[in-house]
Amino acid sequence: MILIGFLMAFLIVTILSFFTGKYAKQFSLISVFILTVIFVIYSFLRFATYTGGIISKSNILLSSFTAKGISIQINFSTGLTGFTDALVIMALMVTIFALLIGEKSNDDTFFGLLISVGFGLVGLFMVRNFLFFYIFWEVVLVPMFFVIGKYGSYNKDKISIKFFIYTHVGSLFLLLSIFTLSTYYFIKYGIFTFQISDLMNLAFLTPLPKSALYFSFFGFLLAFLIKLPTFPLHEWLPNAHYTAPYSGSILLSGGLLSMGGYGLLGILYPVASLFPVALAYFLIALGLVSVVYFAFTSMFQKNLKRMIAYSSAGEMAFVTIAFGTSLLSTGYVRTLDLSGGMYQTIAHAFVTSLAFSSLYFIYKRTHTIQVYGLGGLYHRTPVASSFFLAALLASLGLPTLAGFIGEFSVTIASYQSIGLLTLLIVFGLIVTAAYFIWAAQRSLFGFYNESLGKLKDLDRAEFLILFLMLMSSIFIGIYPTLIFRLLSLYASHMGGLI
Amino acid sequence: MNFEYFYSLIILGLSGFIALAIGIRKESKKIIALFTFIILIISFILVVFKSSGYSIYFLDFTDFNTYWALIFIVSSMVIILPSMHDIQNKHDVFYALILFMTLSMVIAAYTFNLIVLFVSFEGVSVITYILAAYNRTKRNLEGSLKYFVISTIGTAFTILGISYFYFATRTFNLLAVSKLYSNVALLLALVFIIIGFGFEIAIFPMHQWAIDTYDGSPNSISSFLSTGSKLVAYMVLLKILYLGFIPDYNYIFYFFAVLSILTMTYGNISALSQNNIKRTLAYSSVAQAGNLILVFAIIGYSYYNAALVSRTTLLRFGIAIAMFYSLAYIFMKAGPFIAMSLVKKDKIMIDDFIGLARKSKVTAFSLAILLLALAGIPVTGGFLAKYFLFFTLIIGGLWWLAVISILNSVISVFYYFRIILYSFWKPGDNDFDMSPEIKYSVIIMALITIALGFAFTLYTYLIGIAII
Repeated sequence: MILIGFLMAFLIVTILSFFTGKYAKQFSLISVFILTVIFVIYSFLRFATYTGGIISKSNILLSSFTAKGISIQINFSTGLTGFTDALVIMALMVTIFALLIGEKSNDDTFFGLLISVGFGLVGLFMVRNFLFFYIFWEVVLVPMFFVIGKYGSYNKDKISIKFFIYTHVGSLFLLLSIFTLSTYYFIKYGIFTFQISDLMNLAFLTPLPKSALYFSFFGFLLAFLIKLPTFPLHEWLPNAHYTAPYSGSILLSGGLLSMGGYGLLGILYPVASLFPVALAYFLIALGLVSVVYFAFTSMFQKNLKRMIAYSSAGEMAFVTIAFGTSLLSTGYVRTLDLSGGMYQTIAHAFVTSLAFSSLYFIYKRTHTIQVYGLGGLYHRTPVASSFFLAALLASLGLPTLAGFIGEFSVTIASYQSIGLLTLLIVFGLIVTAAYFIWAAQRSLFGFYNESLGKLKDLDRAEFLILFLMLMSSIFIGIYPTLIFRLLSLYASHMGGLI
Repeated sequence: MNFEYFYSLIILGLSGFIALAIGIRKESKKIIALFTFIILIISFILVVFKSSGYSIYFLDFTDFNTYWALIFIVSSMVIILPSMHDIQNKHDVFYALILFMTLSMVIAAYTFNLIVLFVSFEGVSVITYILAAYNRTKRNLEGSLKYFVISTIGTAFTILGISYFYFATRTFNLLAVSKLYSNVALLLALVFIIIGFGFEIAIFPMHQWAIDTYDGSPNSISSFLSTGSKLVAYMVLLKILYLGFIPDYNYIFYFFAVLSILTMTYGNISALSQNNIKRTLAYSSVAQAGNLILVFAIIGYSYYNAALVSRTTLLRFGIAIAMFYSLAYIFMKAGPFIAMSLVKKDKIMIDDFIGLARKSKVTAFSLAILLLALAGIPVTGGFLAKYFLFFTLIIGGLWWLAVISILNSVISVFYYFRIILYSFWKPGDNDFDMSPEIKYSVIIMALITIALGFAFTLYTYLIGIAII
């Protein structure tokens, strides 16, 4: 019930924020901050004694009909696992980061849209019913479409529509899968329901006809892999990032990409033991190709924002690898693998937020983010450059920063199941490190590009924003237990739950 | 005879004449419109608060019929406010016609007799010919004439179909159909009836008049033509196909699977290339008709019993979604057509919507919500309607049809979003007609559409009353 109340409060905040006029930024920041504090306190209290599984379940029967051989139930139900709890906090934090950057500071619609994305994300992670899961899944898209299309820069009309349609296709196949499962549930138990706990249930899914089962797996995988995105399905991402305003980019990579991670590890994994083994290898292959492909693609980007976009997709490829390899392993290794994948989903959001934000402050001064247009920034803006460097280092997985934990766990754990193929991951990581350092060298160090004119370093407010992001990144980098405990508890009990 | 059941009919009929009488006294249009609206509300209330299960002569007061009667009354209510803006003269006649038309529609809703269905359906058609030409501009007259000619052809087919139907089943009462006397005659009846009503619903080969007429008529009338009058034909066809073909559903599935695919695809692809926004909406209305007649394919498919669930379950879900979709469709389709009155032009191109969001944020958002509903995006009635339509297709085991209609739905996103894109962030400015009638109509439609997005209870209730 508390979760439903929390969602209601968030909804009210979201609606109000569209009508706040010139106080939009203050209002939205303060209200989301208060919501975050409430939720963090709640989850500290609730998750102190967490032992795995879903807790804080609540269920409202919205409507039902039972007569004449038909029974249909429509529920609104919520619940939290260790993973989704961390995801909700991450979504709230990312929303705050996006609001802090908030470029169009006089436009209440802009802030309303950003909060709407945050609301959709939080709702998505909380709800345990496929009807509302789908609603939130799509609700995130619409404000994002507006953010990209209305406030974007280059070629925004085409790119925003492409973004929407590309992801919408995946969503619709997700819809078909949900319906298929629900129909077969009716055939077996005589009741139509959309509850995730009922439909994503091994006892129910195991005896299903293979065609129906694989059809629905296909729909789920397509939707989640588009969001993630994995190698052949990534086409929407770099353009959307490139066009979106920086707040939008933060929400895109921090929010929308983690939806894919949540879908794979939170929704699909509990029943993934029904996957044919070939599919597991196929997913691993996709992940490995993605790591290497995105590493090389970002190496050849001349635009720093596109480079970060590709590298963020490359980081999410670890989730695919974790998903695939954990299907092949058992016991402790599996838990490590899954927790690593989940941790990567969460850490990735913090790391890319830092990267995009520091890039925004550089862009605000230099008005260019082309690698060749910059150069020697460190001489004039040492603080901003240091933050950007820290973000790059975090992305390549430097220990003590957030990115390390997830990548390390996944790499170690996947060695158990795919052996020397792990070298491909390492190779991808090396390429990543190479191009990040190369990019840093060309844009931050070396001779100062005099055509940029006189630059001022960060002022106090900007420094605080970046400092907050860096601190959160470092915090989950050196004290991962806080989150990792929840994730591993959840992962180790995943077989029998949901 | 229980008169309680006839109050709404009597009130609608009488008040038509009263509206004319008010017109003689040269009262202002506001008074007549208000009067009409109040009468519609009263008849709505009378229809709602009436126990069901009474039947006399050719009228059957069942829950199923009552729901359709309500839908038709609502579809008339929707155009009262915007028509105050669109219609320039002779308001008394206009509103009296609306009342008579509503009477016809309500009678059509309450009957299962083919002859009465046909006559009341024609009653609606004849009045809409007049309404389409109401402002007597050249465009109105051209649209109306096309409509009239094509509709007359449709009527001829319908009559032929009905006579073949009688030959095949020896009854006009759809509830009494039980035995089949001639298989061939039934097939001919099916073909002719589909053609006859297909003109009115604007399904694929019979749709071309609709584009011109929707484009040429006054906006509120276009909105009625694409909602109310289309839904009457839809309901009549639903009753005939579901009840009249009980002895032999054989061909219905093939006919409608093919027709709906063609209709959706043609409508969507034609809408893509249109810059005239009213024609875009007209084509989108054709595409939506493709979605609506998917229900007939479902009904036909239930005959084969190849579905995953039992036959009655599938029928129940199919008819329930037809009823839910119709209600959501009224608001989400009428709204954008009414919003066309915001532009002070006859021929409305997509460029004319540039700058709407800068002029009035609320109106632009409302229009966007309606278009999102048409595209089937969540938190709108259109989403729920499409959601349960696809659900029903899957229940029936028609995956391929679901995939095709989903791909169509994806195509449609493109042209709906294009309008949003133009109204929100294309640079430029236009002069808009922000009359309160139009503005508030659009806002109210958007609010109702959002409310329908949470109408789960309505859907489950409809499953209960779906089978007659």
